[in-house]
Amino acid sequence: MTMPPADASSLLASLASSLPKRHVLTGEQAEGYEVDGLRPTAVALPESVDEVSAVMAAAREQRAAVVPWGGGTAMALGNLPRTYDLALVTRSLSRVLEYEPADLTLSVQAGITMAALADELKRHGQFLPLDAPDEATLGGVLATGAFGPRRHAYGPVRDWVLGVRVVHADGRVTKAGGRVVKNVAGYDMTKLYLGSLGTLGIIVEASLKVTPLPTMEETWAAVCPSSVEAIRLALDADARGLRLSALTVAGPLGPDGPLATAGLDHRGYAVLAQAVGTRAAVERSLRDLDAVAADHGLTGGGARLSDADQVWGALRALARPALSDNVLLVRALLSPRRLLPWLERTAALAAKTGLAPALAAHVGTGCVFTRWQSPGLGGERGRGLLTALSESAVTLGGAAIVDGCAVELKHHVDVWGRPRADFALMRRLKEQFDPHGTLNPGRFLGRL
Amino acid sequence: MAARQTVEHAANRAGAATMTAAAPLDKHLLRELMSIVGRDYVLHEPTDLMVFEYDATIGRSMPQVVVLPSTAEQVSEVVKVAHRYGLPVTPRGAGTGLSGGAIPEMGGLVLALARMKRILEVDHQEGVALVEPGVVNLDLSRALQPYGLYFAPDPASQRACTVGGNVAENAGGPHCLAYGVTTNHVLGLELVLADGEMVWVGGRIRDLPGYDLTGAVVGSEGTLAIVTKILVRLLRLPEAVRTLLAVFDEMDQASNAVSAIIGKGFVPAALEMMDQEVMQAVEASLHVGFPMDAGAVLLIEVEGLREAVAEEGEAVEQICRAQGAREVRVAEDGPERDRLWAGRKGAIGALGQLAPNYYVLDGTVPRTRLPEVLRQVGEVGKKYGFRIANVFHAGDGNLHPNILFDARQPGEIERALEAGGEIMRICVDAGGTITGEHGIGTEKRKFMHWLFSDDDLEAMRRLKTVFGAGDFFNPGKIFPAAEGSGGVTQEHVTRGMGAGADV
Repeated sequence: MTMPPADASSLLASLASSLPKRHVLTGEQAEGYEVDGLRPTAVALPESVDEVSAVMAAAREQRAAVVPWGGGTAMALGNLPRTYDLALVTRSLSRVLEYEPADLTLSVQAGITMAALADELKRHGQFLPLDAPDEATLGGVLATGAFGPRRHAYGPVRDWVLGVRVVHADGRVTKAGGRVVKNVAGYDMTKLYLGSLGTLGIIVEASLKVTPLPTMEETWAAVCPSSVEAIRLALDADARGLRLSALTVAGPLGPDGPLATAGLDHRGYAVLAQAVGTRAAVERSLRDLDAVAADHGLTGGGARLSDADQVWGALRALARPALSDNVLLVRALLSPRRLLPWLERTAALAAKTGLAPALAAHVGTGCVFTRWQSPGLGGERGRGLLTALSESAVTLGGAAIVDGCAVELKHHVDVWGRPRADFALMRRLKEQFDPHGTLNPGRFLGRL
Repeated sequence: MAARQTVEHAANRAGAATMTAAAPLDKHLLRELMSIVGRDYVLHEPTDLMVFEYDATIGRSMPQVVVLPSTAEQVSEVVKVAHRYGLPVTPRGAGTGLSGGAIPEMGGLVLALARMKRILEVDHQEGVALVEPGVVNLDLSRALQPYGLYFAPDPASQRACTVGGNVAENAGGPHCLAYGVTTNHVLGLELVLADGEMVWVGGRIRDLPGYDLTGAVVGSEGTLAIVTKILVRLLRLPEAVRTLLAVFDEMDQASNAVSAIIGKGFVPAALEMMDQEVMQAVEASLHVGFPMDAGAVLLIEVEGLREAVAEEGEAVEQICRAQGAREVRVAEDGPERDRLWAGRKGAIGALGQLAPNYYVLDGTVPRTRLPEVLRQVGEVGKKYGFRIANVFHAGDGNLHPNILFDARQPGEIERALEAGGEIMRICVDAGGTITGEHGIGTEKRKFMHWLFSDDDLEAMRRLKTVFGAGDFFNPGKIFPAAEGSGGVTQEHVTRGMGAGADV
């Protein structure tokens, strides 16, 4: 699956014959499309599925390595590309293909931004409960399997996708799944492409399940002095079976952060809950949350945040992939009951290094983002820290993924962590779907 | 060489609708299988094999040998032996499937997983359970009740069907509307691959990086690997439940009420429809108090926090009345609710009251197309002179028209099949699909081209290649036969009603 770099002039010639000229950027115009510091020979901006197919056929013929590119918000993810010749930008594929609100389903092209999609749905009182930056594309969200706080109640990306249309590495276009909410015809191929980082094919269209906007949403916060105490409170709250769309422990969020704005102690760790439903149900959930807080010694209960968007936005920013010498962003995946020991170890590590990472722990799914910030994390110091965090996650039966770091660090580690026993099957899957390693070569788990 | 002859023999017979004699089996093969699972758990006498030749469809095909392993390790050893002898392997749960998935069409070895029925672990704090494939769906939810938890997929056959079968078919059920189908509740699987290797895909840790192999195996109808352990996600039992039975004079009114409920932003836990034919059959046998003269009823369940259930229950009731419901009965719990659900879950079984045979269909359409699709289904019934009874998951747009016929009348089976094909085509033309929860099996593979291009199917075949399963696991299922190969006979898509079919 290794390829020599493609010949730049013949790649450009091949692209020129398959796309209108204005759909290809080269040289200086390709600035801004770097991946881990590498700049591609060309950037293709196809405007139709046929054009995407033509670009892939050209790339295949030229043995060019292709990086699919949506909104570009998560390009820091992944291992160093083995080679990188061509960025394929899907942003021009942004049409809504079919939307019947009463069916709670929608078919769109994958280059639509999450903001545009949300606007369209909102006009009909509906939404797609996947947390992602506004400028991210739907295709990017599906390919990265991105998730955020609302995964707590609404589940992962895979629960919302009914079908996709995919352009394969050889330019062939196939569809998987369909447009209806229950469909078991043939293999569930859709699942393969979700979370595959574009390494099996490029998602160009998707049919989604959507859901009505809740009648009411309230964000509740209770601040604890330590992360461990906050996690204990949150686990108790989770056990109540309330109607919460998100339940996250976060802190410290800084003197200018949303907790400070709300008049809460910004140095502490906040238990953040979003109660949803009818008014009576939301009030009931908030009452129960206050009771849990009281049980944990917070006699006044929690606070209702008037500017909820600010706090959830801050969490999105905290978890956003980054390429920086000064950042180490680690996503630990654990079983929820291992959250406490993980946080204890992380607190010890913070004390030892003298650093104070900001963290966001989604207690229902056992996912903790820790963002360490300090100059020089790209060197030995960052590597040492990452090794300690990874070992701590692995000994607790979990895994640690690097979502943000320096390019330098990527030379030394597989950012996805160690592959598991099922990796042999994954390798075979990659070989079947992209035998020449055209799509994102080297960037996925196990450097697939 | 004896083994190869055996396989060829099986393949040759695959076209025959019924089989009488099993092919002679290699004695060494039998001895090897017995040494793995014990003498009592290898069946090869024709009388013993007969119960393994069918499922809840009426297709039949006799296996040559049935093996009943009790552990994953035994499954692995049996698979290795079968692989060595070139004997195809068809896994089997409770045999309640409705698309022929468990029928060993090419003969060979049936791996009956019913003995592997242990619930290995319940982690009530994290809401997960580790089970063997032979655990009966309802037994699992019953075992979880003391913890206040349950397994959400609830096919109507849940008293008999196994969790392994649910995984193979990606089974649904009435409560899928709010909670999704089986794939949404499976976190990981222990698999035995074609070479006997055991491997875990997925697991307790959510969102691990890598390809979603768990998602690829769920719904693969036993053609990729044998599932030997299943890690399932559990849901909390709701604090409150309200069940409503809304009675309508006309089926169209009921269909419109479905769209109105969803359109107003309510997603009930269940939203089921039954037509007059079904209610008459149910009343004749189960006496649950369904109105015999109504055009259709909706069975609606709202659940969650007490406060929400009260508000949403009333809102849904109002919507039904506004859409012309002449009566809305409300059951909070206890015997009245059980009665309503008994009527729904026993509906298909009760159809025996109306006709000697019935052909259970399964297709999905966008729910806004329901009124027009139901009318078209009715027209197909008129055209062929069949009564058609509808009981289905209206909220999901997942139809189950049941064609009532009499197999003793010459040509009726063929006409029922033809009518079924027309109804499937109506679903596809309405933007839907040929199966919402029963699977392709042998029944619908000839319709796969309506949905998928050659390239789409080629991508599926590549997935099969990844698993190295070839034509070893459950051969003949899902994929349409190659043009002119004659591999699929009309007899083998003869589907109708076997004992105990449920939807």
